[in-house]
Amino acid sequence: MKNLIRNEEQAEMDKSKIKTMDALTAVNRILTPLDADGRQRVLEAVVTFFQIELGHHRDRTSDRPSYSQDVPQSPRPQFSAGGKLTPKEFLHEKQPKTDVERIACLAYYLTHFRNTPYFKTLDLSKLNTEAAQIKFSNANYAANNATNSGYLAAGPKGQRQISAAGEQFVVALPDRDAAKVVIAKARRRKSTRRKK
Amino acid sequence: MTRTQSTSTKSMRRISIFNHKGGVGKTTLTFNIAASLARLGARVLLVDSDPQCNLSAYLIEDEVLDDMLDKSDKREGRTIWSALKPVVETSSDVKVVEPLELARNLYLVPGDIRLSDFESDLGELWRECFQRKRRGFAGTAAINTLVEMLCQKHGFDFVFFDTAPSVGPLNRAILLGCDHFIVPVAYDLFSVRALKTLGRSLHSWISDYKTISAIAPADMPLLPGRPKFLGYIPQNFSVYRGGVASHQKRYIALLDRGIQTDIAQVLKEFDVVSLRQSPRLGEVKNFGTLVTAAQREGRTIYEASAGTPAQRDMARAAFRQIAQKIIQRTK
Repeated sequence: MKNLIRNEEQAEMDKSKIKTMDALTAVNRILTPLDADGRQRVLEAVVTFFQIELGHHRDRTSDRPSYSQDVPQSPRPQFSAGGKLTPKEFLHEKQPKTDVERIACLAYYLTHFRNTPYFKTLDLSKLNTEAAQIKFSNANYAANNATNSGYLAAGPKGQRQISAAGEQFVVALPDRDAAKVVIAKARRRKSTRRKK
Repeated sequence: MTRTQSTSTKSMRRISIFNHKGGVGKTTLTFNIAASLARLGARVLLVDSDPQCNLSAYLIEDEVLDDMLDKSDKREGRTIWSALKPVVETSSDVKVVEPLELARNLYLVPGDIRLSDFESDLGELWRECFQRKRRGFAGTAAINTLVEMLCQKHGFDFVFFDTAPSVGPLNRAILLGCDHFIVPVAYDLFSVRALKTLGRSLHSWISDYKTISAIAPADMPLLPGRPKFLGYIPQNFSVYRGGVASHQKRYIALLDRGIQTDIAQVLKEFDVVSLRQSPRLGEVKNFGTLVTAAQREGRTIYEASAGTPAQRDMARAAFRQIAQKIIQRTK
């Protein structure tokens, strides 16, 4: 008997899932031809019509493991809350001083604002252009330096990704003292490993 | 970034740094003057109208520029060709491309190698103007139309064109679309010789376009057709004991005379040369490693990480002075 009830419940859940998937597919199909503004208008109208209360989005950075507790934390930047910061605004806020720091900031932006955790140097260069920054004298060289300095790490298929230390560094910016502590700590760890 | 249509296109000044002689620093001057104007608070648009794309290569990384050129034929294209393509291929309107923001107040429409194809078409379009065909007028004025649309959208105060070293149809369309032009020169024999052909070409262009404007049917897009001479800028000369080095000194007088006889006198009938002011707009001496470093880094000469602070200050002052004179003379 219990099994029968469980099977019925399972069937109900499956049906509900299928309905949700159908709705999602239909919504996708309808929204795809619209531009970003159009999509937002439609979704806002739907939310209002069905009186849906959208819960606050979780801060994407909040559930990330804290790599180092003793690092002075700068106040969580506003950029992760809105998610609409342009690359130019982001760099303006972070104020990177060198090409390598700029690379780290751009990598962070690609990862967290463009949903591109793995990227090529060209992606960084394109974002740099979009952010109205002066060109890198040699983007590959700067990206290699960023990797050697611990801001970036190797990704799949010859791509790159931001490292844990790189992320911490960018989060700490524009507080340079905090950022220095982060990166110094990461380098110390690296050298200890080599000695072993 | 976007400014509404509050700024009229009437207030914008289109300036071409033009000399068909190569190697006179057109691209370097264009960017550095434009950047100085932007620093003085003017909103400046740079248009790379040289099919060699030197200005774009100066300011955009190679890989990014190559990627842009690869995509310029597609919908997402952002080069000058992306804007002109509809005019050339389907005789429809110019497509507005978003200029790249380089720095505060400074924007760029990247160049494209395909402009050389457009240049071949411009020859035919010029002939069609004489035949009073709409396609001819629209095609000849296409770059100017693009610039006007961008100015309406972004409210630019100055538009600078970097031109190719030639007296071809492309430069003709650009020059006739400008309100002013500046002639960069070097202290050498070839620059003196070039003034003659420059004056003659400008005379025939302005004169021909006068005819075209006169016969044009109503409602045709027309170019201003009467670019005023703002002045000349000697550049890349050596300085010895506070003055121009002796081996180049003799060309100072020759160039001054050449400007008077080959430009001012030749264009006198069109009233485009003011004889009340000195034809020399400024001068930019040879700053040695600063120029190559600036090109490598995509910065202005006075921000490059080379040379001495004194050199950079001197460069900054030279370009600032030129920028101020441009503001003064284009009022």
